[in-house]
Amino acid sequence: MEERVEQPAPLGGKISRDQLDLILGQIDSLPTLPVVVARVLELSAPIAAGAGEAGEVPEELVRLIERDPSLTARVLSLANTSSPARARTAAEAVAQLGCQAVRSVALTTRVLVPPVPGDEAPLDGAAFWEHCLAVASAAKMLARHVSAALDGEEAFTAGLLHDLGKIALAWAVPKSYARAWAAAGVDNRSLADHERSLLGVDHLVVGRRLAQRWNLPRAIELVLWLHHQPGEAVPASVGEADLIRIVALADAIARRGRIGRSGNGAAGTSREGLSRLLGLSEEAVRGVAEALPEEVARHARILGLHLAAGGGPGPDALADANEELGRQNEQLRRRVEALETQAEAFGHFTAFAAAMRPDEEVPDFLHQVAGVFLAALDPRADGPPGPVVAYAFDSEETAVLAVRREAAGPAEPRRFLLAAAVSDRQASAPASSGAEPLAGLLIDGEAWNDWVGESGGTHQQLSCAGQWLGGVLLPAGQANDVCGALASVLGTALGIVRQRCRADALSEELAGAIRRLGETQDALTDARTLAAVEDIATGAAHELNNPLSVVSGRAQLMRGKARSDRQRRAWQTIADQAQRISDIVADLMEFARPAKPNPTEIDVAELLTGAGEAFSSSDHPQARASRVDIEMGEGVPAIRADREQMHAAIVELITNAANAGASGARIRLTATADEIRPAVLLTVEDDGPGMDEATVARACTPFFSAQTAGRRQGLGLPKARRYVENNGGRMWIDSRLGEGTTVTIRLPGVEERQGRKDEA
Amino acid sequence: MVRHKAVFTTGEAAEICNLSQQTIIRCFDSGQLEGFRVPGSRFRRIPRDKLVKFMEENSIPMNGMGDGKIRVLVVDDDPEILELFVDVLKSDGRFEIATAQTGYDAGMLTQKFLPDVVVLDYLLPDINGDQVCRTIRQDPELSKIRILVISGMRNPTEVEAILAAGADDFIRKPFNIEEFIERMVKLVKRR
Repeated sequence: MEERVEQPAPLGGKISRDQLDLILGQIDSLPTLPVVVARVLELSAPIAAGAGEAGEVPEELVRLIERDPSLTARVLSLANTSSPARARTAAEAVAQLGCQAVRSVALTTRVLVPPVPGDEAPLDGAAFWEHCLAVASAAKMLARHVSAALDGEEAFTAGLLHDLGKIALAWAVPKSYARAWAAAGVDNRSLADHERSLLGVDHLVVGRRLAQRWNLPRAIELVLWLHHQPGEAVPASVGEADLIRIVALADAIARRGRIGRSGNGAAGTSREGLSRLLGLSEEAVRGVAEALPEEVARHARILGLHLAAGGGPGPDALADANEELGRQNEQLRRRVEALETQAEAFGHFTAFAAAMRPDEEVPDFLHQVAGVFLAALDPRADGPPGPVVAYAFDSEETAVLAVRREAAGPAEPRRFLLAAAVSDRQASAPASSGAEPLAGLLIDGEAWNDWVGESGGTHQQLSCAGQWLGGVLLPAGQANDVCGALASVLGTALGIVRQRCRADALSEELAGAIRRLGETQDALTDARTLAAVEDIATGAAHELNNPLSVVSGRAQLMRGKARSDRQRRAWQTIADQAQRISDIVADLMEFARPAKPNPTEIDVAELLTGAGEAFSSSDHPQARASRVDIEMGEGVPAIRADREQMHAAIVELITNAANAGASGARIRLTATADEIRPAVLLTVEDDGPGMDEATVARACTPFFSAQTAGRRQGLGLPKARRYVENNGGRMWIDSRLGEGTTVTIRLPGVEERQGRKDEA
Repeated sequence: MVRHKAVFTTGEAAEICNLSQQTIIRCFDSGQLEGFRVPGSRFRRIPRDKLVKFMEENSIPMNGMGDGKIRVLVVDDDPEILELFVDVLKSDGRFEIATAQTGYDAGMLTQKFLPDVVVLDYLLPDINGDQVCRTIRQDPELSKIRILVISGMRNPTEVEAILAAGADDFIRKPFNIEEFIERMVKLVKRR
């Protein structure tokens, strides 16, 4: 309680400017009279009874504080340093600080004691305080006379504090100051003069520096500095000129009235000059002077100065205060510790957040999490921290994804399957931190334990909105409070990452659904197009056949009248081509709406042989040159299909194969039994040039042809496929450039078709 | 006109011979013109061959009876087709031709012109060919008329339907002229 400020030994007794600053830097509060300290402790005791921050500061305590210069200065300083609101009076400052802070102020107030026990205290103790009160009261009364705009309380405060510099000097260099004080009491030179000659600085400069360091209101700073200037010497541009003059005048009044002791024997500044400058009448000033003693007595009683002679804080009070301070200190220390932990965690998390990417997937996230925890772990004396395992439940809730990181080295994510479904998992969610919880939940708990190894010491849960999403495993003994703080934040982050991944998956599904919708629409359009084509084809066929008949008929008639073979042939050609056009139209109609199949049981060998022969004996240019070989597999069942349509389909495929190859193509027809179901696989293979992927894809498009020649080339494959599909089969093409083409038809065998019919 | 009938009434015979009905009755009664009476009535009927014989014996011009040409009624709504048929048939020389462009006209002309064969397009503007077929077939007087349907159709189901409606044969458009004529003549000769 009674620490003595370190005194640097002034050289030759004088303090230089730098030393002054050094000295003032070590002062964080000024002492006050013992009796005031005792009263402060007494009046602030109720606060300690557990009122908390919201408690009221006792009225009496406020009144006490605002009458003591040291306490006023302290609360003003605290209030104006800790927050931007500018308190101008002690009452304002106390309101801002709250009762706990005020209690702390009370507990830490120092006592002004004489340098040598038994001597007079410097400043003459109570008398000086009286002087301060006098100047304060006078200033308040004068302010009322000068202008309504001036705040009387502010003037009071300014007056109270005007000689703060003296208290500071008395505290900092008590011996030297006592000498100055003594010297000033003897002759007529001002105290300030003595201060300057003995100490090198005066109380005005000291007061000003202190006001600056302590963030006291500027008005007070100016008053501390300039209250001894002759009235005219304070230019109006200084601002607060009136306040300064008021305090100076108050000081003069107080000294003239011999109220208290200011340390100055001299009379001080002229009253008249100041009154004139302030625009005060002589009566007003006299009135103030007359009222002053009574006012001062009143204030002094509140302050307790009348008890000065005997009063002082007793040893009990001091001991209590000490204990109280100790408790407060402990509380603060714990708070600081907690905040430090949080700050550290926050630092780690900031680094983590900076490294996170917006499109991060869960495995990367876990990698980062493990890294953060590694960085946050207590460093061990005998090696690097870790290893750390970070895990999360995957989105389908079927497995656990985990990443294990050591201090150095890469980390691959691993996947472990869960034995239980989601709802079970929720029920068995572990405490936020504790033993490793997963081994019992996984299918292969042992593998998990082996892999986790020494990380399995402690467990930190990562949760979001109460749901257990994942966690972090740390080696025993390495976890600390930072980990707990990190876990809570990272749990939320994990929740966010999972949601985002889920949203991504949903949007992919949505895109897929839209694509399928588009395909369905296409298919639907195709079907409608086909139906429309059917109608058009039917109408078109009729429409086209009429003019074709006319062309054909007229050509035939003209042929009859032809005069040369050449002419005859020409007319015949016209008739033939007209017929051909009609055939193409017929094909198209047939393709658009093929005849309903009339299924019968067909022997496959017969079918293939028949088709081969039909081709070989046809008019096709390659008919003679090509060779058709037939290979029958074992146990090929009969098929049920429309004989004519199947025949036509196979003939089309053979024709196609013959067209593809050069002259003398070799065409192979095979039939095998499908292993899985009763079905027959027929193939038509050629050794022609083959087709590239693009051609294969479009081979079944009507009228598509990769070749330039070929009669009715366009509809052969599509027609064959139509027939096959209408008879319950499937057709597909395998081809590679340079390796030939194989067309495969799969037709249901006899039993399967029956089965299908039941379904239909 | 009723030229191709197998049996004629006295009125019809009169018309064909360009004589009065009285004359025909007198000839019938006198036995010059052979015939028979409808059983259970007094109505006179003259079979075709007897009438022909009578006309030849009395050198009555045979126009009324037809001149041996095959009578063809062509029905199609497309004027070009119609013209083509007419030219084809005319240039052959064996045919006498009438044309109609609607089902309604076809019905009317069948009654009036009494063709040996009707060449009928299936798709007509007002009614379908099979309707015309049925109408003709429903009339017993017209039972001997042959119907040849021509169409752009190829669907065997539809062809079946046409034949079921009463057509005697079916030929596709575009057609081969020789084949067409051959089929027609064959049809007529079948009667």
